[in-house]
Amino acid sequence: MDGLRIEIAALTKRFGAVTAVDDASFAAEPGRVTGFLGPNGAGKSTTLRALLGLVSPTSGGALIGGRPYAEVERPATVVGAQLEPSFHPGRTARDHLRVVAPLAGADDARCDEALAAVGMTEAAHRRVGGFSMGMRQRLGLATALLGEPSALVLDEPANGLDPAGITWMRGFVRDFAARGGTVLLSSHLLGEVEQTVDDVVVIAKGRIRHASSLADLRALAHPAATLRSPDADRLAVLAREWPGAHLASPTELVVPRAGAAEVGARAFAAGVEVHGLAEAGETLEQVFLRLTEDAA
Amino acid sequence: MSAAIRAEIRKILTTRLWWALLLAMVAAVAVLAGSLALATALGGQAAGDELAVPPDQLALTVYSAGVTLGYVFPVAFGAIVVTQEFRHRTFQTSVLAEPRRTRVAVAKLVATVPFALAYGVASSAAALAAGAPALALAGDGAMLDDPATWRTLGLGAVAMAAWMLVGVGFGTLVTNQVAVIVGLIMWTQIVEPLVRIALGYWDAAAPVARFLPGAAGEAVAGTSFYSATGLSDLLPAWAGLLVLLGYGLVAAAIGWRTSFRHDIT
Repeated sequence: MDGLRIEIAALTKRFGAVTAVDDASFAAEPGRVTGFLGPNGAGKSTTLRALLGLVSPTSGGALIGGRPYAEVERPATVVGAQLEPSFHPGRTARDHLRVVAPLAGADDARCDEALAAVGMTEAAHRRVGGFSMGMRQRLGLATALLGEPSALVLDEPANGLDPAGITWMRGFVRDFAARGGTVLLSSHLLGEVEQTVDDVVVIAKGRIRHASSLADLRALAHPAATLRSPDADRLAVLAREWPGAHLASPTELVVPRAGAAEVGARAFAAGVEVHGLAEAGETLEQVFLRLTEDAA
Repeated sequence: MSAAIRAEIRKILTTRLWWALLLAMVAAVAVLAGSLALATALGGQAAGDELAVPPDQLALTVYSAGVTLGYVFPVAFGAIVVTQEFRHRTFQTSVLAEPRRTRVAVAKLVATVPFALAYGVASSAAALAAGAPALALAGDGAMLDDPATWRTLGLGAVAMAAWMLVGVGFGTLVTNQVAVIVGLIMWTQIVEPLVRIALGYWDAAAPVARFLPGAAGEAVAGTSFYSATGLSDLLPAWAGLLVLLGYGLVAAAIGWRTSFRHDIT
């Protein structure tokens, strides 16, 4: 697959007095899955829609393989997009694809292939009106795949999927990136995509708060450790002498910004009898929440 | 461009609307033409000669029943072809596949043309199939050897086709499906007939009535229920066609500059 870089460059979008996206810049690289994360209303969808030419930016812009979406010839063969599922309820799944097919350079056989790729061959001749949310998501993905693109832009693709569906989607997206494709997917839940993404972009209130690899995001987690001891007196002394530390109970000390090794060493030096010592640093989800809430 | 047009034609063919409305139109035009022929002929005989519509005039009125009263079907179809994309939010799928929105708008208009012609032909065929036997039965003859009959049927088909393009134009302008359908039906079935009757009683304004869309449509076919009853004059056929298409194209152009350019959120 040809590597296509997706780049959001100083993108700003205002709707009247509301600034939905404020000077956002980030990139999604080929061969990697980039998670675009933020709470509801953070500006994720608006950013993706601006990238796809559905929303015109107030300033700045977005490039796919160096060109704005509107200037890409036969864009469906370059970027597959799945936004909130929207279909004519009276059309069958296969006919929905056949409607898009002429502009995606796809014939009827390719439509059947795309349905098979998302496991919907059985439902090909059923009307979309009777589909569950999960089936609509799959059909949306089949639409995105129709033109055999080398980049995928997926807005909340896990919405409405059952756990089996989420596992399937994860495998699908990983496989697409492993073949050299670029994947940019949004979610409001880090946990939902934690096992899927390589890179993370965090947006809140329209501003990009963080962009890095998932590993680098993990490294941002503040460490902390807890120490349990039956010796309440010595524990209280330790708590008083260690700035930031506090007692969760007379027999449990919590030390932020320190690892278990450091806490264990201090306890040993102070002659505290240790019954339990554990890392209690921020989880990835807590880091994500902190990044989105820091928004002032 | 041809791919965009093929996509639009498939959009129409893959839903049931096009044949459902076509069948409804055929049934409505047939019933209208048949009952108009019987009622006018029999009513005329009962009322006496001075009130009877001349037989040739009656035949043309019957054969143009589609243009006079049945055009709500093609106009609604044309509007829905556009507005269903907004109603079901499939417009975003269309624009993702073809980001040049002007092409989407033009492709929709072009893709509708074969359906417009099919509706036109079907409408005239229905008026003929129901009207001819009814006229023959009513006693004054079906007038099938009169060239004016065939001219009216042919131009009636053209007028019905033009009405569909008017629908596409207004659907592009007012993308809310309920609003545009209610608006078009209110205008064509209630407002315009009342306005034409009112203007007919006011000499200075009477010529204005000829430029109303319904009157323009009837002008294409060359006759109508209203002109047969002496309520209003009509433009020449060619001028009527231009006026009618003008309404559609102006509405489409405004819609292309406004509703087709909006952000799709």
